[in-house]
Amino acid sequence: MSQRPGITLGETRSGFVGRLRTTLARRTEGRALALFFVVATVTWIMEPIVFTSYQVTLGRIALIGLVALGLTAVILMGELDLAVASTLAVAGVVMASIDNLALGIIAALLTGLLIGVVNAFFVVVVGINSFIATLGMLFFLRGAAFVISGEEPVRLANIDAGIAFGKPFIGDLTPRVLLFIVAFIAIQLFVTRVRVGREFYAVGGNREAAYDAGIPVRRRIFTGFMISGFVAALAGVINTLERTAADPTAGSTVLLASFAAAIIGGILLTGGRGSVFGTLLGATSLGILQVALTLSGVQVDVQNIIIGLVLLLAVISDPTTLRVVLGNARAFIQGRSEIQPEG
Amino acid sequence: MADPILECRGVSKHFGAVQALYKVDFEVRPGEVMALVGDNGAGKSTLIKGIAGIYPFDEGQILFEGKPVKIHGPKDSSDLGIEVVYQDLALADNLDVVANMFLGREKVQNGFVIDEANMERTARETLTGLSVTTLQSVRQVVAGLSGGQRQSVAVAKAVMWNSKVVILDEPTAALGVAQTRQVLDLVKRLADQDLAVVIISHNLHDIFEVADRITSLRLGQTVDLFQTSEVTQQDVVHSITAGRMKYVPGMEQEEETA
Repeated sequence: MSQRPGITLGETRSGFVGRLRTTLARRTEGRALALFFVVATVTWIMEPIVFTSYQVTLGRIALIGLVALGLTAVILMGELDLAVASTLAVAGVVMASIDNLALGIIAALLTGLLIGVVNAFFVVVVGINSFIATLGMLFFLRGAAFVISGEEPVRLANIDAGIAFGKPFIGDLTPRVLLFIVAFIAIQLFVTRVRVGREFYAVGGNREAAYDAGIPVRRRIFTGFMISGFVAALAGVINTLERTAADPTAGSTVLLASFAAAIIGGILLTGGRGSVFGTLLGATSLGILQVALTLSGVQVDVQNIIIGLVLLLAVISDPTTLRVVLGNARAFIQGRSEIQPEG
Repeated sequence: MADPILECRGVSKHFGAVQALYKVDFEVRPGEVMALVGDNGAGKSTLIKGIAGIYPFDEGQILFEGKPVKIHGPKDSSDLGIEVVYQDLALADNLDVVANMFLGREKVQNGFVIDEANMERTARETLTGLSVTTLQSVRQVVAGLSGGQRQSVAVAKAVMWNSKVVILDEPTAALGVAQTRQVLDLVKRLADQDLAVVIISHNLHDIFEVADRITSLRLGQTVDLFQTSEVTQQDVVHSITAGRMKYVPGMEQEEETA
């Protein structure tokens, strides 16, 4: 069997340049990047104050983004976690109900982990579809937040800590933004460089094959939901500190915004495709857009209309989706009924 | 001639009342391609799943390198160096070639950080060693590969783990002419590297091209063991459809007098 000369399977790509090339070759953030530039440019021209008062914008991005980052870990495996916003509220209430600040924070974060475990238990062990299981948890936890708090905001015992937390910590960056950056780096490294995290992609891509290859699929799903629960609880802690009170209604707008951020970031809801960096871009675009619209005096209702349009545009404008969409539109016009699924 | 690396002696398997395998003998030697043929329901898949440890046999003996071994689960067989490439290939479409070859067994440094460069090098060496030259890059995503390329990746994945026996379940079933060519060449190369190869196929043309010997099964029993060079396709077809069975189903130990 003669080997054809001159054909190699690409050179070994080690080192920074090599890794960059490999990385660029299979990016899924194309549309997120495009949208980011469009939003940033338009905002720069129309409402430059968004960038001059960047602390506000960064805070907004961190609020949506943090929850979206945790969500990304779950969606990569093809599961959904609708309970994140309720987890945020419950964690905040738990924290404020405990007088000692440190104990409160620890209790809140443990609550988040526990909720993740319960979610995963229903999905993996009981075998309920994750949309349904976490929808149940969404209602359950929101109700629990109201019951624990006695239906009104719980004031934080240590108000000074909260006030200190809202102030810039390093340079102009508040602790919230810093924690967001730390969470981003941690989760990004986890899913790209750490074995357990990398296997999330395999679980999302072909669960059967992953299982056959010896990947403990169930344990990976538990890990994913625990990350998502923990991060949501962390967001709850941050919220409570900043507002020096825990509101049982907290985070009600965050749920859909964080999903939107992840989707704009190029993640596939059926799993296996997407990235943490994409989610960051999605959250950034969305954050800038929301702040810009608010500052230019657009009503919240109209804002939602615009964000909805942007989300749809972002999804449709994905090159692979675009072809399917055009094909379906043509088929529809010509009266053929075979509509292809997206992706 | 080399001694068999893997030998099954009188293995049986039943599912409820259905006797899927009855006292089957099967062997494969290093450096040879052994074809496993038989009609639908003859027990080909049950036999390889038994060897792979997915459905352990009810009775009978498995010898590996001459020593009796017990295979109770998939891990037992892969520890011995037996790798099976199933028809569905078990590849994750969204991952690239390297990630698929190392699926579930990624190389790590410092305990948990993925060692990309090392994995990529090993994957490329394995593919080059098998003369798989149709891939443009080991960083291609599997979704974009042709059927033959996917099969090559799945086979390379099986070979990479220092395996001694590679079992291929219908490797050419879904492939076109050129793709089939690629895979058959690959099968020959595996045997050239002194691996024992078992190939299941319904395509006698393919089998006669690559196999050294042919074991034919019929209704759960071994009916014939051919040297490919000594028989015609007609003989094999006859064996598959009307081969003489040693045992009458349901009657223990009694030789049928045909």
